[in-house]
Amino acid sequence: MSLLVANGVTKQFDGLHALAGVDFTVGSEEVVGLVGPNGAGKTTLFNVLTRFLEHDGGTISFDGKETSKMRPEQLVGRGIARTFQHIRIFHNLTVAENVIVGTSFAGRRRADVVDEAISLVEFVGLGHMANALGERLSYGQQKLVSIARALATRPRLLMLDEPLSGLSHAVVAEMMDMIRKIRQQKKAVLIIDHNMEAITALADRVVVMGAGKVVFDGTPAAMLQSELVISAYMGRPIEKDEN
Amino acid sequence: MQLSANGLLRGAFYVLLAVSFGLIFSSTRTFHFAHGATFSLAGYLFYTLHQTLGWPIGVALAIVCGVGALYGIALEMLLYRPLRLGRAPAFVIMIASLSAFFITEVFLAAVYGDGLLRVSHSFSTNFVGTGEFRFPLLRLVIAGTSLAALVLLFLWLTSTRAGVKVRALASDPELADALGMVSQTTRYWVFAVGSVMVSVAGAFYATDLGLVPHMGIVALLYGSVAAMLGGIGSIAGGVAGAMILGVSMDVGMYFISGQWQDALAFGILILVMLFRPSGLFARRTEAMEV
Amino acid sequence: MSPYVLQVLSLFNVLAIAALGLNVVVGYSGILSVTQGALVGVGAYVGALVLLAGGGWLMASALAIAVTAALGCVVQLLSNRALGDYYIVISLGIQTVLFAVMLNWQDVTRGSMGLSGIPGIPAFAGGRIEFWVVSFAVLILAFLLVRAFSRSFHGTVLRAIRSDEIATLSLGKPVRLYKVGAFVFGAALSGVAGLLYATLHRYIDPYSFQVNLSILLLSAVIVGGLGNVYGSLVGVGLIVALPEALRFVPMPSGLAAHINEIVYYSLLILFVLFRRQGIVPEFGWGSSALNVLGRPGAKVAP
Repeated sequence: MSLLVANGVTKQFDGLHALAGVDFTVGSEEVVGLVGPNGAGKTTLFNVLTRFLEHDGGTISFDGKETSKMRPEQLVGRGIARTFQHIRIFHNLTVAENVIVGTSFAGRRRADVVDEAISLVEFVGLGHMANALGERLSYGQQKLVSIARALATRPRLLMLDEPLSGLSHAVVAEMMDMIRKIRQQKKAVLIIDHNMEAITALADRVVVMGAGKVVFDGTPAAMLQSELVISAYMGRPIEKDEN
Repeated sequence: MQLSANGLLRGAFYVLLAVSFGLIFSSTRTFHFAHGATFSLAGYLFYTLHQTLGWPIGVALAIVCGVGALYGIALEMLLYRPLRLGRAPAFVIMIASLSAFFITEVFLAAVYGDGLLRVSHSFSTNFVGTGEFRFPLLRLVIAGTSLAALVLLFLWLTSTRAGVKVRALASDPELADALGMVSQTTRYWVFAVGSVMVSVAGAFYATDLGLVPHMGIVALLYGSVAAMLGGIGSIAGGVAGAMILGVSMDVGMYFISGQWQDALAFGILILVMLFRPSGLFARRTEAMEV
Repeated sequence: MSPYVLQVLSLFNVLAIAALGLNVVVGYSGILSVTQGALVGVGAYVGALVLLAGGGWLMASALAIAVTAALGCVVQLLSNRALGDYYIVISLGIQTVLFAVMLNWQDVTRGSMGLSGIPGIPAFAGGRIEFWVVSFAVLILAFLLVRAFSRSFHGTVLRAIRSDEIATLSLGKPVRLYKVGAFVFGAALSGVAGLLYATLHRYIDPYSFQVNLSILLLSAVIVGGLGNVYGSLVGVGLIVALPEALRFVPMPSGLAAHINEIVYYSLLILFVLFRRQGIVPEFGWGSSALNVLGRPGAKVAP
């Protein structure tokens, strides 16, 4: 069942076609990897899908409903949460507070909200640092916090923008485990990343973008053998059916 | 007709304020509140040199511009730069600038007192033209000076090394810094040129409307409003904004009494901001940066 | 206790209430507002007009709060569109417009002549001690309110907004609503302060509510410590005490007021340059950061 459906989405910046007709879906319990060379339009697509950017043409719907009139915070209420490439955690808040901002605390007992936040903090492995201020955290820890607080919004679809970049091998492995656990919680996960090894190991499906379009959409195994994908990365114009 | 012509002349005055303010803001990203203090300082100093001491206009003006430039440079050197290096958030810099503004204003009030001081000159009492189209000579002089200033500014920005660097800084500060093209000297140039422009405006104001202790707010208000109306970041926008403000003000004043002047200016700004937050002629509307 | 000292202490109470309100706006939410002075003025005029017209204290307070809150709502909605740095110009503009209204709407406000003969606190013959007691009680109330708010989850969201609005949006929180709410809260407190100000001095004119007052309050909040309720109290204490301290410094009499102002602004610059967190930093004494100690599994952070 498709959770997120994008049809023919276009976006221009001053004449640059960042998105030139993107067709794209995410199912309700799959892990989808979104890859492609720099400038292919991945982050632009992310921003358009989460309503931080207005798209020029095409339609986007989540859970059957059109999203083009929604504000970003409304979309979160419907079940999409995201992280940012440049990690935007709240430096003046503690780890627990960061997560609490993601929860819907209205009308709930204070203790319940705090418990929920703590369990999320522990889920990402930072239980011992719940009171640490955001600005004291290392890069990897900040990434974990941003995931924890995104999870606090109880999303059906979690969108991660480069969750693995800049991390050591050990931490990458931990991250990957966590993403698997998230998937086990019956959530869909969409990941942008450049770490092909990790993506092919994690993803059920991979979508490759090149120059504002979807160039390939299939299993990781098929992707590794696709000529289209190779041309996208090499920058050659895409020729159909080179087999 | 007379009304709109008057409006244009008023706009010409605002041009000096708006363009100088906009120049500083777009190239250094500093909200230079103390720009208003440069204005006051220049006005009062001009009064002292020309009116009280009787020095010739040219000399007085030159000295006033020099002092203005030094003041602007001093603020950048002693206040803005240390704050920037200490990675102070923008609002902290604004507060520092506001404080500097007030300190200067209060100092001037202490020295010169609360009353209205005016530089008298034949310019200010003569009119040009006849019948339907009479314009105060002074206003025409101001308009002419503004035009000359704009031309000079344009030449400076396009032909001189320093000017070109300033444009680079204005279009992409991070890139310019990263490429090492632009040094602190360029920033000083920006403050110097901007301060000179507003100092000239201050001297004019002293002759035209007269000096009062809180006149700095005028420069600040109308300068920033006009700059924002037009869209900060483009010189042409600043000019257009100033003109539009000038004409709107004159038209508005026709219907509303004089005391509401400042309120009117802001009212116009707020109206525009509601529909075009980046200004009327902004190059690009700034989208959310994610 | 001499009446003069009581006057000073009472002024402290009044300004502190306004400063607490401003702290919510600037300190917690990061909205750089210079409109507070005018808002205090609006509260003062509304309250004074009601009292002079014979309406009781209840009505004066209710209207002062309602009008300033509504005004605050309008102001923030209008200025929300202003991008980042430009906000302060709009804020300055609104301060100027409100001042112009106070000065020029002669029919209602009597312009520069001001309103005089405003009744003092009733019930105890309107004495100074009574005023101090009442204003102190209001201050305590305001303090508890702001402190409770800052420790609530809503306060946490505001602090998040100050740090990063876009990230807060990405977590589903209605940022615009929160900012308006914070501003209204601050405006309402300013309204209360205004009403008390009017009854303290028994006379008001527009000139007390210019941008100088806004900057004064701002400097109290900043120097005292942004984002910390105790800091605001310290900041106002400094502002009220400074002119008194300067009395002992010999200077030409006409310049006293000017020197005062210069000292204030210089202090502000010095703090901004060298101690940006203010006297009582945000995470210092009485911090509003949630401490989740004691919950199962959460231990003290290193």
